[in-house]
Amino acid sequence: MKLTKFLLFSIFLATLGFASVVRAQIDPDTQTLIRQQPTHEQEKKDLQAQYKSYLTSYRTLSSQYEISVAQYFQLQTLASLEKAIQDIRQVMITRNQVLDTYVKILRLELTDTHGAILTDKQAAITGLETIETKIADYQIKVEASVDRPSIESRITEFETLGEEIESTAYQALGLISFGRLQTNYDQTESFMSLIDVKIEERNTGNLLAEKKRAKEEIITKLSQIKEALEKAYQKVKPESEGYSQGNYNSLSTELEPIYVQLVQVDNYLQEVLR
Amino acid sequence: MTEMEQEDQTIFSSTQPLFDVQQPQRVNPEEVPPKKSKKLIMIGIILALFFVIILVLLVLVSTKPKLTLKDGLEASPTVSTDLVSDPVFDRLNQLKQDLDHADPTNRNLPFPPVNMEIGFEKKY
Repeated sequence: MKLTKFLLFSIFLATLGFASVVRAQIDPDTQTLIRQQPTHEQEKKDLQAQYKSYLTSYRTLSSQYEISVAQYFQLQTLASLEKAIQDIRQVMITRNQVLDTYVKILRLELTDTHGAILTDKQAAITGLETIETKIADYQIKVEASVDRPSIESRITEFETLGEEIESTAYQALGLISFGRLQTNYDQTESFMSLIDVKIEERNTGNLLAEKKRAKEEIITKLSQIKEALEKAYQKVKPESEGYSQGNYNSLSTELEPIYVQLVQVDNYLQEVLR
Repeated sequence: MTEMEQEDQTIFSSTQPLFDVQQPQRVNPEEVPPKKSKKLIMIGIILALFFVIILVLLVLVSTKPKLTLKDGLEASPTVSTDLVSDPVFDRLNQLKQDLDHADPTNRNLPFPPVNMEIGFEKKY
């Protein structure tokens, strides 16, 4: 019986050891994938769900507000005035919620995006945080406003706040668009160091010489992209009169050919490594 | 006249035995060859189990499931069948995938479609 017990124990130990080897083969890859996940992915998902919900409410309330205001101007009664005031207040509250959630999403997206100059990125993040605070303060005031004069004051206040929100948001969008392309360019450049070995492994003689020439062509293309990116970055920086949708559209126009060039580089790389 | 030719059945039946009763042989335990040891059978079963476990584990390792990708990550598109497992090509595929995400025409975060000029004014 002693021999049997010893054998059973040995088998248990051997199985345990083998199982740990199996786990060790799987875990590192899985961990790599987890590390690749952006830091705020779940938070952004939650905010996007919240954003959609607020936007749906806003659309319903916006229609009600337009009807109420139209009815007031048609009926000119105190009851219709009261209804219009309440509907304006309600739609303003929901609009604030939509804008606040959007700004939060932008802030997280910008935080997770690399490629921009760090000081500019940090300045934009701080700008978004300031806007979040301003929207929160404004929301408190709107909630407290129940009569026509106070609602009209809130409407006037929003003229400035609305411009600030748009300006800050478009600048963040510009940095995000630029940062994504810059990051891809940086990764492509670092990838170039890997292809030499691969080319030599797969090719010989004339073919090898041809592939090396192709690689030089890719390097030239990358240097052109680098210059274009440096030029485009000038359109990301804030201007004295603020950043507008026009600035953002102009930046996108500048970034489109860079994107096309990067796609071409990827295709070249695939061809060279074939 | 022999006994078997005896015509008187009564005498015959009383004198001749009806069946030959064979006495069971007494076995001497020391002379019997030893039975197979139960221990050996047990060891055989245990070893067989052990090999089955090892076999199952080997099958599990060889059919290691593909890694589950987390939300937000898609499987990299393959270039060609002979290059699928090449890390250099995997990285190139990842680059292409990231580039799709970086397309400046793909505006996945548009400014909210809200009225920034809500007011108490006649519109119609």
